Amino acid sequence: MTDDTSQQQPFVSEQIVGKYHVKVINEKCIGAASCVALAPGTFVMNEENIAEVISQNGDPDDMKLLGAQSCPTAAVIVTDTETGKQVWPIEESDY
Amino acid sequence: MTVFLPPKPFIAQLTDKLEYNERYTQFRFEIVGEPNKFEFKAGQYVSIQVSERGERRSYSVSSSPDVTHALELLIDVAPQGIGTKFLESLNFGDTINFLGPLGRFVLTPETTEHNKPIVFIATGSGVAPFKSMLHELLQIRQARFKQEEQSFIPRQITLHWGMRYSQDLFWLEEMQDFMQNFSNFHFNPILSRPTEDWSLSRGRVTAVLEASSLDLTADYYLCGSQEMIVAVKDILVRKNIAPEQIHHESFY
Repeated sequence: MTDDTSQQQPFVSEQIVGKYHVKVINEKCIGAASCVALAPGTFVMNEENIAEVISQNGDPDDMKLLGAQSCPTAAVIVTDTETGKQVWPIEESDY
Repeated sequence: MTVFLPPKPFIAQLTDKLEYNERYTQFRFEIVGEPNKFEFKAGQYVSIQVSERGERRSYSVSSSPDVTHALELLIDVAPQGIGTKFLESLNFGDTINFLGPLGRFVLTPETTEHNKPIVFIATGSGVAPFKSMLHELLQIRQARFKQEEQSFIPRQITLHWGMRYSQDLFWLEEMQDFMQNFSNFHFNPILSRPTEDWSLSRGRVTAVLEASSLDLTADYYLCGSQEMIVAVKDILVRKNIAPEQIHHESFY
C-alpha cells in the first residue's frame, strides 16, 4: 500500500482554490453537457451520460457559475464556500 | 467521433418575429459585434441570458448551420415562463446575450457517413432541432453529393411530428418545399385531437409508431417531452431497434 491516495479518493485530497463549490444533482441531469462545454476542467460526462464533478479547481469561478447557469434543468448547485450561501440556482428567499 | 466547438458568448439583435399561432413564435436574431460568426452543428442549442440575475434558458437552433450570421429559434410561448416573457418583451433591434453552441444532440458520424435512413420523431416545439438537421441533410449534404456523384442514392428521411390541434402546426410550407425538392423526405404530421376533416395521421405519436413497421436499419432521433422520449424509446426497443440507433434530446 502506498501513501498516494489520490487514485483511490480523488475528491478528498482536492483543494478548493476558487470560492465556488459545485455539485451535480444526478437525478436532474439530462446529459445536455452544457456544463462540460463551459467548464471542462470541472465537469465530465460519465458512462451513463450524467455530469460528474472531477475537480473544484479546474476552472475559474465565473466559468463554473456559467456552466451551472447554462444547465437546462438547473442540475448544478453552486455554493459560495466563504459565506456558505447557495449562489445558484437562486433560492426563492433571495428574490 | 464528433468534435464540438467550444461555446462562446455572442450578442445578437432581434430582426424578425413570426407569430405562427397562439402557441408558437419564431424569433430571428442577427449576430452583432464580435465574434460575428456563429458556427454550430444542426441539433445544438444556445443558452440565452433572460434576466439580470443571470438566469438563462436553452433553445434549440432551428435554422440552417450554413447560415452563420444569424439564427432562428422556435419558441413555445404557452408556458409563459421567464424565458418566453423575456423574448416576447423584446422589440426589433433589441439585443440578447447568448452562449453557444451547446449540446451533443447532433447527427452522428455513424448516421451521416453510412448514408443510413433517418427517422425523426418530435412532439410540439421538439421539431426545432430537426428543421436544422433537415437543412443540413437535404440542402447541404444531399445537394453536394448529388453534384459530385451521379450515382448517389439518397437516404430515406422521415419526420413524424405529433401535435394536438391542426391550428398548432407551423412550418408546413417549409416541409412542403422539402418534400417537393427531395423525394426521399417524408413528412408525417400526427394530430391527437384532429378535426373531422383531417385526412392525415391521427392519435398519439406512440400509437402511430406501435402500429407502424419500423426500419431496423434506420437511426432514430427523438425530441420532445421526457414522457414522450421514454415511451417512444420503449416502443423502439421492443420493436428491435438497437439502443445505439436511438438518439434523443429531452429538455423540452
